Amino acid sequence: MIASALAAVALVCPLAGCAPRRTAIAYPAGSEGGPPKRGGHAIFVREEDPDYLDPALSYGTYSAAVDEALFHTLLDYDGVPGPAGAALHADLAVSLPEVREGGTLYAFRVRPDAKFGAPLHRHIVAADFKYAMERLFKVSSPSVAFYRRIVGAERALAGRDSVLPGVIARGDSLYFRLTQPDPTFIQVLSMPFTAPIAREMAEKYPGSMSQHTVATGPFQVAEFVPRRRLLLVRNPDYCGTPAWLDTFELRLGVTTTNGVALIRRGQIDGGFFDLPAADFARLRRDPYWSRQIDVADGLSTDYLFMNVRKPPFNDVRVRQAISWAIDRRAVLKVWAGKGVTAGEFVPLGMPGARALHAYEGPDLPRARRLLAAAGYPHGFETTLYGWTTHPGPLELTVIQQQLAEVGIRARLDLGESVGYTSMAQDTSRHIAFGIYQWTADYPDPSNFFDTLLNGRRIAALFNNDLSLFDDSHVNDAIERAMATADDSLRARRWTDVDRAVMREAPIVTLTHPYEARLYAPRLGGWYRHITRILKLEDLYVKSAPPPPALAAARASGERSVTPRPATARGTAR
Amino acid sequence: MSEATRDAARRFLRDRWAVVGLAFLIALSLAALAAPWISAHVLHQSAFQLHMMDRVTLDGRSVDVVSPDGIPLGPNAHYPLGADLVGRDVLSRMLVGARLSLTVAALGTALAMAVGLLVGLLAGFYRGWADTVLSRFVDAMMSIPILLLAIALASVMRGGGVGVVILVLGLVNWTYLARIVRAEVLSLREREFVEAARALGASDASILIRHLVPNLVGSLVVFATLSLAGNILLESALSFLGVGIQPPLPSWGNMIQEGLTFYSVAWWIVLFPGLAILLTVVSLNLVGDGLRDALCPGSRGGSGT
Amino acid sequence: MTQLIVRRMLWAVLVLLLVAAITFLIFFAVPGHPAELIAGKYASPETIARIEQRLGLDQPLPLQFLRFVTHAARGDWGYSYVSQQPVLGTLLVAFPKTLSLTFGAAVVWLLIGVPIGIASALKPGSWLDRGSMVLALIGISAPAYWIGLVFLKVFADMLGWFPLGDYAEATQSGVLAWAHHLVLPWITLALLYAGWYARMTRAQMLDVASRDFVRTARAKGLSTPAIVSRHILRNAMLPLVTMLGMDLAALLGGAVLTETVFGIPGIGGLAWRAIRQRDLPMVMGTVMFAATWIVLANLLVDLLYGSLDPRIRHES
Repeated sequence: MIASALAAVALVCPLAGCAPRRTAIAYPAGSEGGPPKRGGHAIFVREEDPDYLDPALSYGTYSAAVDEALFHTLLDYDGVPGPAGAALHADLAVSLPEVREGGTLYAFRVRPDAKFGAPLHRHIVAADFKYAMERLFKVSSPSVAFYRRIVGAERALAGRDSVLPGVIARGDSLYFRLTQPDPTFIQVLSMPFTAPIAREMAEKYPGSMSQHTVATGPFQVAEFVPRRRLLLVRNPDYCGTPAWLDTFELRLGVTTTNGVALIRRGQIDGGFFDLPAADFARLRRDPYWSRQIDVADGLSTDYLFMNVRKPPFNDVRVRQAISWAIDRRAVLKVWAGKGVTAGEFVPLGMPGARALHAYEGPDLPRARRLLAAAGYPHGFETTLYGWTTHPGPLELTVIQQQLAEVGIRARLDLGESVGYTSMAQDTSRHIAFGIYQWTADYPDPSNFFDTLLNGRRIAALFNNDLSLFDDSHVNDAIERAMATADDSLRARRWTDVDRAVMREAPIVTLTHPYEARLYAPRLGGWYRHITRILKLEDLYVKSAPPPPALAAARASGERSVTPRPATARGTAR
Repeated sequence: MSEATRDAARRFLRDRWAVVGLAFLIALSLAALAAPWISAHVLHQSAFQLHMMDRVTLDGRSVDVVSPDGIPLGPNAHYPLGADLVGRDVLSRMLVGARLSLTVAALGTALAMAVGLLVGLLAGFYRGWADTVLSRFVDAMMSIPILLLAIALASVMRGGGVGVVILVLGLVNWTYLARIVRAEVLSLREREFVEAARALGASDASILIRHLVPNLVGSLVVFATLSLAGNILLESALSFLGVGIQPPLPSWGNMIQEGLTFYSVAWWIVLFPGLAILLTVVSLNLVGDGLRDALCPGSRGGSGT
Repeated sequence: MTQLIVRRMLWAVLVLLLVAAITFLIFFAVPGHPAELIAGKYASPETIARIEQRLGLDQPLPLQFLRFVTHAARGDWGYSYVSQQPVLGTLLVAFPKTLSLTFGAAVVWLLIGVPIGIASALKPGSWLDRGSMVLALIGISAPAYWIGLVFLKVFADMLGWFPLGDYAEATQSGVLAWAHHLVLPWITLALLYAGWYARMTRAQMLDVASRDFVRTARAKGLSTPAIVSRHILRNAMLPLVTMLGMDLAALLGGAVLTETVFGIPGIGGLAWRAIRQRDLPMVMGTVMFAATWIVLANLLVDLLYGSLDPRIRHES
């Protein structure tokens, strides 16, 4: 969700030799002990508070898991691991929408038993959805660009209108009218931003909706004390499949390091954080705890961008040379091996994605030949920009050395993540060569190609096409793929776009970093959902063998602290 | 003068701890100067060469310098103090880091001394409005916690590399010296020799340079040594926080920071640079204490810097 | 006297204004769009413009500064760009943590530093004196963050005696958990200051011991313990108390490194994060908060000394 490496990112399974395609490890520990039982209490921790408990404003990676449990909307993703989780089913709607008028009209019916939770307990009508959509523009929600294609959205975006004529509500019937067909619309519609909002609450507490949440999902807020804890209880008014757990507690202000220790001591069940590299390296060698680590593809790509309008990067051979010079396996090591090398732009966990193995190298002679052909037989000097967030500096150091092998002398310029991102997005700053990371907002390649490489979307400020890549063939291909409704044809078209992008090389794909999370053995039902971090409603408590005595666990952890015998290292390859 | 200097030197050399400190500093400086040679010929390593994909032979077995999940080799025959997260030699980096840390701290101190001396002299000598304005400014600077001020400056001036760090050290550390100099000048300017010089028609500048500054030399030398210690700590803290010396240049502080994420499995990256900082700063403080006792026999150890 | 107090207080206010101006100037030099922090990654230029207008970021710098000062004087410190929480509220939530760290550490360093200093001063030049002064030197020379990391590795990670950093609220987890979490940070922070206090105590005691009234007392035949406790200690403590006041004030503004290493969500961590994120209202808030304590402590010391020692009053 966040463009930078700031947000702890997703993972899959770097465990030796695991094929990239097996993105999710199905319920490692959750399958023992029979079917899930209703009831119980789970405790998670997190360092930062959720950014907002307001579906319009929340946009933090880990706030999403909480928001998605509180605020359900018309549709929801299937609760299964892996790419299958990208399938949608009706949630507060009676069924999937009827798409009419050449894909410009989406017709929904709100479920007759859909209800707001406490304190309202009233029926949800189509007008509540319309109000929520219009409120997005009123409160400058970070999501508004997703809904640009709704009729009237551009006017609302410019602040010239506060109503959306394209959202029509009549009783339980709800229609979305678009300016042009958009097959991804159904996916952006499934983000919690569109969850219904009760106007009577929003108008009564305009500035403090986070303290006056009205749930529309399987959980509701029982207590929220900022910086201390957030207590969720099952929402009896929710009309969909109820949550297994009675209560879910999120303790706030607990650091990641302590979170890991608490999970290992059996005092809590999990945490909203990416397992730090060192803990990951340690625990995956532990026979007991390695089964409690969930490694999953978080739909993320880590890449270098090059300004294709500026010499020397305006020559495709220079860009290809850089692609050939990079040893992606070395780059992956600074990610603690959490992830796979990227020979394609679209993460492999994305439905329909294909591994292209482009620039599998390094091939230094070829890189040098390309540079010489482009007129840089002795390489050139440049500045490589990046961020200080781990592992940024290490990663760029590795890249710097590899570029030096083919004569490219890159000076590193590292900055704070937030500042760096806005600097790179500001075209007047002329950042020609830098690192970037993108994590999918929704499971469709358009979130990569259309957002990041469609030349027709280049803007002066907040520009996401950092390479300023504007190839009319590629732009057309992107727009054609986006407008394709048939899934397999669409997937093929996206693969073609990916191939063209790899060939033109406006970017150098490095890795697809994965996410790793640690859960207590007593907890079942955890898996990295393709778009939701974790579906809280699927968690359940089971009886499981207690964790080994702390001392024993520590001893086994400590062993990996000392240099390991050569054999262990050899076999780990 | 030379008699006094010889006396001071004798007093200094009698302080065994100060001599030990000085010996360590000299050894460290020599090692830092010879760092490239030591790395290449003694260690057969480089402070900058990465060995991400390399393998070395240990006990007859071939092992990765950096394992596939990113864990480097600990201290061993090839890497006396271990390898870092990208397979660089920790000892070589520490030697180059010593060079950088010492140079940056020394230049930062020199800058701080220049600014502090100037402000202190002006405020103390001219008093009145100049004194009020300068002293209030010094008060304000000293009211901002020094580390916060340094972080703020370093973080907004990023991109300038080593020069920025020197500038930051110089800009935050002069205030204390300015106060000392001002106080000393306030008392010195009333003394007979200043009156005499003025009566003979000496200009302000010549009084300042010929008569006041020489009398401050003792305080300045002591201050410089202790402030050098403080600046090494400050530079390492800035680099540790990521706003000081930027990679791939090694500094003891940024080495610790780079090792942080893997601290629990690769402790050597954090432990050894920290020890280097500790020993260097202890030595500087020992020498500083020794100098103070030697140059200002009246005073005793313990005042803060 | 009243005139003196009023004048000193005016100076203190002036110094605070200068601090605000310095901080403001430092961060005015930063390029970038603070409004983007609020708007998110898909924000349109229109949204940014609207936010900049709302925050007054489109106005000239002196006006912005004036606005900050007048609002701050009225107790309105603005809202964080990043968390959207009120700055003052955030500071007040973080303050108890910094307070816990500071006062606990002060107790530890006084308990370690002062006795060592006294013992050293009683037998200057002895083996005990030299040993403890070297230890004190190590204390003041060690990088606090590194000591903290070593403690965490040994006492938390390897031995498991303490948590791996973090902070426990006394009201929520109990006083025991609170103290348990703070033991390592207290010791880490205290080691630095214990070194200073041991050296200071020793120096002051030796200084006082060489003065005339002590020689007189000794000549009168008073026993050594009586001289030490009645004359030397009492006179040597005054500068120590002053130093303690100044050190506490400086620490109330946050111990950035100790808080960062141990994950204590105090003022120092807040300031560091605010600086990194260019969260201007929070930067101003934390810096002014820290500076206020120092200025207050200076004011107090000035006034106390001014009333104790008439010469000081004259001089300025």
